[in-house]
Amino acid sequence: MLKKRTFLISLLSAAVMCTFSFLPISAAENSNAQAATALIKSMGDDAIKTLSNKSLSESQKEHQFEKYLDESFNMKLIGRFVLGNNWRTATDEQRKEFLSVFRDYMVVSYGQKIGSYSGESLKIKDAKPINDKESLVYSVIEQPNGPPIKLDWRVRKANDGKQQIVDVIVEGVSLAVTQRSEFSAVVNKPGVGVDGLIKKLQEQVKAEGS
Amino acid sequence: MALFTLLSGCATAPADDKSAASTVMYEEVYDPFEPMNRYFFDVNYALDALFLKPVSEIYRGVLPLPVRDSVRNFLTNLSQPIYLINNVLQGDINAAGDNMGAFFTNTFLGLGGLFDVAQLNTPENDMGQTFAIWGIAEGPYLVAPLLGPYTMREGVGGIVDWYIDPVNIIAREHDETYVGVWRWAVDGLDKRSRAIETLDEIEKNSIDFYATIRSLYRQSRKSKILKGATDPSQLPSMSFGEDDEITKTSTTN
Repeated sequence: MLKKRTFLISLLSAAVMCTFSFLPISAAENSNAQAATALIKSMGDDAIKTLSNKSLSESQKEHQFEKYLDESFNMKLIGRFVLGNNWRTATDEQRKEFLSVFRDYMVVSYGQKIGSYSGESLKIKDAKPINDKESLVYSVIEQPNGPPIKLDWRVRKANDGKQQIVDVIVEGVSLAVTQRSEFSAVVNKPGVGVDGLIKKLQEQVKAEGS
Repeated sequence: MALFTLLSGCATAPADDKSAASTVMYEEVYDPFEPMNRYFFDVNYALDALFLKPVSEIYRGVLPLPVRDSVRNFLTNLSQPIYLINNVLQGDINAAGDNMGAFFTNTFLGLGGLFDVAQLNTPENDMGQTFAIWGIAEGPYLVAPLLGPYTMREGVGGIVDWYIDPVNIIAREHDETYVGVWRWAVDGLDKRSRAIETLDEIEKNSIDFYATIRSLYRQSRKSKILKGATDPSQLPSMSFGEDDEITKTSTTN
């Protein structure tokens, strides 16, 4: 009888312990995911308010986008990621120059596009932790005519506890992965290198920004 | 005794996040035929600018959206049998049931497939996805003349689809081989007309259009195979071990 009981208790405790080891999501990660959701939600609401504000000009809306980029996105980490393996071989000077031109490139590539949006609304669906620092916030943009666009935000907690966006995944396509692939193709062309990439980006900024 | 139970019970505990992150490798570019691919990419780009893009702009300008939606519905309906075959081969019987339901409902109640009465979500399916689910690797990236980007697996899958597609088989039996060609052409035209702005935007923002399309193609294929869900464990690592302190320098704004 006693034996049976010990056995049952051990079985039970094993079950409990297994449950805990199978739980990949800790409380900290959960609160992380919540904080990440809060960031996307406040930014989304703010953006829609800005975009639907008829009294603002296109350039004011673009300026607002720059503010999001500098505050809500971890541009240094994104910049480092998209440079891929070439980051390690790049000099400090090159890194600094690249980060600066990469930010401007993002502004001219996506800022103007933001100015033309209106009427679409961002609906947050769910959030899942990726690891102890990062979470993925699932959202959709609903369109008046056409299927909703899936938009997933990869959000990372910095050391000071600030949540920042590190990647945007549109319909399963990651912007950071695409840019990394593109930039490394450019850098690896004979005679181009990191300097050549910086130059190309600068030209792009000049051409688009005018 | 208790220890034994513990060990046997927990032996199958999942690996922790760190190892999962390290198995997510750098996205493979695998493009051994790059020079040739770039050449055909340029050829296709020129052909697109000369022919497909202007024609799809006319198509979009002449036909109102409801008509173009009916064209899309009709083509999707014709494809339901081949989607069904692939879903069965992938073991997704629920999705296959949706294909069957959508096909019969829309054929009989939706005027031969012109209207999507069933409103069942039936995503595109093809042999390339089936091969992927069977565990066959993508293989090298290929840009085929006229046909555009493929990976080896998707290319072979496309050829198999062409031959086993029930609609094409019936057409061949009645010596109406052009049916398959028309289907393919109109499908391409409709798709191109829906992507005019998107592609222009991508081209405008890219510094290497070829590499961008290559990355987009591979990623969107992967996303289709995962049925559109982003899996948090499949994302590339963005941790660099220096704890977010990337450089001491800051960008000047």
